[in-house]
Amino acid sequence: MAESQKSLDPREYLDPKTLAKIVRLEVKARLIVEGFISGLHKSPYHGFSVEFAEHREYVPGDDIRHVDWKVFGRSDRFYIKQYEEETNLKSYILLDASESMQYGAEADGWGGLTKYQYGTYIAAALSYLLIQQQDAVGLAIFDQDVRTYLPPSSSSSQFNNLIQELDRQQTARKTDLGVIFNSFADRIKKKGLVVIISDMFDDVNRIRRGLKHLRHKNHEIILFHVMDRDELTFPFQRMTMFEGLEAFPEILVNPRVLRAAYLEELERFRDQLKETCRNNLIDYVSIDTSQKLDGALSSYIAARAGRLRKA
Amino acid sequence: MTEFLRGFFSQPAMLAGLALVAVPIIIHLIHRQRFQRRKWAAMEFLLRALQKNQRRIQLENLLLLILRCAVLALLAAAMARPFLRSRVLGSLSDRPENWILAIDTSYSMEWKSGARSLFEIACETVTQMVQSVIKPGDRLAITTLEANPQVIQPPRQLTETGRGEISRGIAELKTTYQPVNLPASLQKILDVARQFEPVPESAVPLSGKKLILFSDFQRRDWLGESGPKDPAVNDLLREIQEAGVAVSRADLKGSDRNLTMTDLAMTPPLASQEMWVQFTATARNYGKEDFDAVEVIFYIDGVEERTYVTPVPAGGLVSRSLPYRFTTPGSHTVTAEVRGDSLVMDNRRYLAVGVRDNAEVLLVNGEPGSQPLESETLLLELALMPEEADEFRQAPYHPASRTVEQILSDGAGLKPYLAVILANVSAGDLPARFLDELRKFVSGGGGLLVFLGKNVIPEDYNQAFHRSEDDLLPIPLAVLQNSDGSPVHLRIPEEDHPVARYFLERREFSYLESAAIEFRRFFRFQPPAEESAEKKSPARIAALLRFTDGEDSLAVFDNAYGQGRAMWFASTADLEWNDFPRYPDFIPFLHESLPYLVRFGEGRINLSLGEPFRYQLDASEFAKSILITPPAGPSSGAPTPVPKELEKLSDENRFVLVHEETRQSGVYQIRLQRPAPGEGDSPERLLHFAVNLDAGEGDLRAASADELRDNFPEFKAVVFDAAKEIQEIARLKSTGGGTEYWRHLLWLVAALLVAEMVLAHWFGKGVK
Repeated sequence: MAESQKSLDPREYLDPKTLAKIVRLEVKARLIVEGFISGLHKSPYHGFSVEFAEHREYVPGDDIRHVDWKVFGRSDRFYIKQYEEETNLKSYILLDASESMQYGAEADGWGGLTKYQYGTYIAAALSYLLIQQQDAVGLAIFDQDVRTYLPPSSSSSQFNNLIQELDRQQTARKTDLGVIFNSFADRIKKKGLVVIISDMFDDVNRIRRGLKHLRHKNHEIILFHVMDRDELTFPFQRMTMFEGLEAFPEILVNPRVLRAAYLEELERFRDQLKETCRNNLIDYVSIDTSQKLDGALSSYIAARAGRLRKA
Repeated sequence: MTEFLRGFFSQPAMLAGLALVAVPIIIHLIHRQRFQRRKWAAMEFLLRALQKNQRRIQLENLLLLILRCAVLALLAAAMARPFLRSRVLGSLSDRPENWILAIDTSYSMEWKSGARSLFEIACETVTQMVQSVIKPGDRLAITTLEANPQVIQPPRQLTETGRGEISRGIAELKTTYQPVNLPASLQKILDVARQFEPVPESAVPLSGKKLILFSDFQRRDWLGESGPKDPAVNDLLREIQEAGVAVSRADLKGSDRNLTMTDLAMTPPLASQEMWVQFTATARNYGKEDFDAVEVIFYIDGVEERTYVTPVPAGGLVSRSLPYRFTTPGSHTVTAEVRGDSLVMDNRRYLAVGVRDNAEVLLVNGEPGSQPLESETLLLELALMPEEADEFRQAPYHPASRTVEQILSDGAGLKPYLAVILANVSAGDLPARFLDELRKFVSGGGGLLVFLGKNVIPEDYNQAFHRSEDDLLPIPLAVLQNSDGSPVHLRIPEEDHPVARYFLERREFSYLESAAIEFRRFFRFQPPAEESAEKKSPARIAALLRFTDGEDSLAVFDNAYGQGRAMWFASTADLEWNDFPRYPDFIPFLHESLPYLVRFGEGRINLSLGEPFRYQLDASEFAKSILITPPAGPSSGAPTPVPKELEKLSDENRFVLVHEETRQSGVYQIRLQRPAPGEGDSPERLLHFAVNLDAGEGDLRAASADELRDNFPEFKAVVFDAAKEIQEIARLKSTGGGTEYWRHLLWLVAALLVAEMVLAHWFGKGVK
């Protein structure tokens, strides 16, 4: 990991540009904590109303009970009174820190981020966002075992704790996603939002079983499938000795002749993964580490918002 | 080695460039050593992809490696300037080469495959070779394979202008109606091959000579019935090959499906006006397939007379006969034709028939006797007498028995007679004038048959008839042999005699050699001590019968005398000394002997191919203008009459007409224009003679490669597929390859490079 990234302010992980886009969009908890639905929750920022947060223009699909008829009377325009939900949402960010996540392209627009670094950015951004909304955020960093676990909390110090952990964590070990997901399913008692940030390089059947187990506990799951551009395109030309991470052997191949076959295998894996997610109502978000961070997050938030409205 | 390579490459040193083939391999190995290292996370997919595609990738790599090596190898080969070298044609380089092309012109080559005969195919192929394969500077000889092999083109350097001349020479070639004389043809080739050496002005050493035999390799020419037809062939083939000649066989594949008219005969062999004769045509199917319906057609004087339709089984013979009666005397022709196959040359046989207005045989009676039954010639008359009551009489003869006195007194001479038979005539009764006339008669083509008897005194006979070994009696008459106590019998000797053949074919029905026919007295013609020497001497003596006296004494023999023949019978024509006239065999003996003697006497008007025609004419028959019209050839138009002149025989008032160009089968017409014909005589006289080819040539079976190899171990020929070779060369030349094909190799290199690039791209498709 780059030296500069270690000592910076935790906000470094949160690109302001990204956050600016996110705050304009709504993040609403999809899952309603059992027995604790108040509809709206107090906003710590707006002060003048425990219910009302802001107006926004009506969009098709909004509940017309929330239309502000007074504003309509004044302006002939429909405005929705936007309320902050009373949250009992707990979010768990599961960040894969296995050896395969240490792979990063050497030259791209983001200065050669590893997948893990990219994953920490996503984790930080989501954490900040959620904590801003008083949601509790927890963090688990894992490889074949859970290396770090911060239980969910919405306290202001939680964000700093998260950032510290993300910054500190470096591993180079194998991963076993199935075991990890099963372990979390058993560990987390209450329904929550589970955000998985991983390259998912593991046996797809074990992954499937683990995800099913999590879903069985009624957790809402968002899977950020982080891949490097190299892994997605296999662009190499020269004869290359590929040294396997996570205890794979090294092989000498001509990448050009193997490219199509490799991409075919990769695509098959991703299709299986997507299908698993689709079957288990898991949001699958493919992340290319060469993409801008805000692009990845905002596309997710947008998709998420759309889905909540439909729900 | 270098010399060997020079046979294929102009610049063999450039072949060192083949070492460049190692370059792609080395690059490949270096490439495998020079790689970058990269840590890789998505290893599972990479391994799985590799596992599934390893074999394909290895094959692709190997293919690309081979392509790259091939590109460099071909590049090096192109730099070495290769030239085409087929097994037969040899190189197409600029080096001068020597060619001998031999074309089979035997008539079996007239077998047609579609519209073209094998001969036409051979000529076209040779012409194509002269035009497009053999280059200026090469030396070329062309010979024929035939009965009398010809050198169409002696060894000579080919020039551009010479090509046309040679092609015209080939175009004028014709098939010869004769089988191949293989030893003579190969000897001619050997002679030609030896004329190639050496060329002083040429600095470049001559390469070997190439002989290509364009032939159907007819089994009959090469092997005869079984084994080599002529053992000399193997030696000649060895000598040819030792003379530096590489032999190739351009097998022209025909078929053995062939019908041949093998024989046309007339019975009896002499025809006279209003006498019934029978023509028998025999056709043979030489092939392995049956012919279901074959037409056998008879033509008399060129006009179709009768057609028979008959099946001919595979390998079988079929004979059809035509009874016929000539109504006019003179020269006539009979043709028998068989139809149904594609080789027409052997489908006809021809017969020239001299129909006489009479066939009088003069019987000179040496012992008339007081009573008719005592006449010496009585049995001869009876044997030759026609049966007037029988319309279908088969005997043409009119025997006329005369004594010497009667002959001399009526002064008619011998001219009206077909043959003269002396029966127990005393030589003393024969004046020199009669003997002179008799000699002229026989020399001019008459037949003479002499029976002896008690009136014969050997000394007188020898004086009268044996003035020399070339006289009517070529061997002297010796002593009278009395065998009353132990009579001797007749025996057909081993010598082949046309009349004896008649009896041999009927041996089981014949009394000729039985003990029943006793000879109690006979003359010896030669003292026994000298007989062995005699046997070796005059070849013209043909022994017809011998006695079983333990000394093989001659009983009947004949000899040629001028254009006629004289036959000598060692005993009497009546029953006085022997029983022969008592037995039925006496009749066929006379009936077969007289035509045999006379047929020769008429001049041979039925000839084999190539046999010269000779015909004697009396002064009274002299013609100032003679035109001989040969038969029309199979592919030529109307024949051109050939003017001829008579040659006068020395010391005689007789002339002889000779025509030696009888290399075409068919009927030859002779038109004699007489200067001053007698009253009532036509100013023009027509004669014919017929020439027939060797029917055996119709056996079209080809000698197989195995048979040739087994029977001619020295014959180390390769097969030359002319059409394919010429087509290939034409193709090379038409694509601008010239005589060398390095350009083609460069094109190939370019094609391989493109292929390599396409394949490399294809194999590594998806490359960024």
